[in-house]
Amino acid sequence: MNDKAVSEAVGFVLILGIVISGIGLVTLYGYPVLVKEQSNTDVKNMERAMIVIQNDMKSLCFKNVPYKETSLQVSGGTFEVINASQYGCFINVTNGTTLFQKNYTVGALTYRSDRGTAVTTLENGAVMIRQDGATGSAMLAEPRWFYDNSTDTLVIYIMNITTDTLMAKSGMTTVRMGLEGSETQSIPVAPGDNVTVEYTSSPSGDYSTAWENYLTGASVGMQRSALNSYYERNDVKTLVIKEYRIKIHDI
Amino acid sequence: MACMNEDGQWIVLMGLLVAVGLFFLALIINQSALVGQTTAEGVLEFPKNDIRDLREAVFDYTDTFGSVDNGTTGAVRQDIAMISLERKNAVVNFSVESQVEVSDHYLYPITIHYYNGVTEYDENVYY
Repeated sequence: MNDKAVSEAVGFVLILGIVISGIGLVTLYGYPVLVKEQSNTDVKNMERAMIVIQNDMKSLCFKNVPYKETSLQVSGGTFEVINASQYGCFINVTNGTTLFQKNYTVGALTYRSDRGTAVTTLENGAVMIRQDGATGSAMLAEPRWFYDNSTDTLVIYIMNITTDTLMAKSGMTTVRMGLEGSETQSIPVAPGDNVTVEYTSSPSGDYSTAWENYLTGASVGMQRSALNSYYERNDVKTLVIKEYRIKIHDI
Repeated sequence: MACMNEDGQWIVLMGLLVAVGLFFLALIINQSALVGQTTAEGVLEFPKNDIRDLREAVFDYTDTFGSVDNGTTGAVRQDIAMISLERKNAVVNFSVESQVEVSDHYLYPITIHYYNGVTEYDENVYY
């Protein structure tokens, strides 16, 4: 082979240049993508963990289990428990008259992502997600409210979360929760009266869109009334409200 | 580069194959976590024992009262519905008709309705 004009030094500089440019490109474009992907994975994992906690809460409420523990890994964000009295979210239920009208507070378990804007919340037995700074929200796992066609009964479940102190954590977490008590109310609804539910979201996060979609969906079948965040259902003979008090002992 | 021994190149190739294999394995494991969760939930949700308990209560009621429909039986039926709601979180309803002849036996036609928001169960049974 003819080796004229082949310089080892020029070749080395060229190869080194290509390698350094490669590293530069990866740092510039690849790293943010990797971080975003990592943050998405953390949020997805937390969504699953929230659904697991929701199932545990269902066991406490519907299957006569007195106490539950769930271990989960909270990464890329903070997981907090907010007491019902401090959360500021209300569900007001009436049987269409002024004789029965009651406000229920709920409390929440919330995960906020550090790197992204996603916020996942377990509120009143529903797992919901929203993006911080944007309106709108979606329900990932629904609570178990239902309407029975055969007996014209509407059953509403309220899950009230209480804690002794505000708690927040990231890393390895064990949620210890127990059922404090439950109350069942059976309220007759006169013909022509509509059961009305009003949802007031917490100042810390607006989940009214998720609740609206759920309440006007097939399982509950309510209609949005003229007033904002009021939902009505006709043809109900009996309104049943079951309120559960769940205490989070520790996370 | 000429005259180099190239016998070890298969190691690189095997490395690539293992990497591709691991990638697909990771995809499958990722999917299986979701499937496992929904399946376990589905099995747990079916309230087999609750429905059995309700049937037993309805049959006990039929043994005691038959198809009599008065204030007392109405109160007992209401109690059964309230206890179901309180303990099993289910809306239940049942009715017992007067006896009919089925294959030389006189039996009560019973309709049972059960709904807990997830499982809806309706049964017509001759007892």
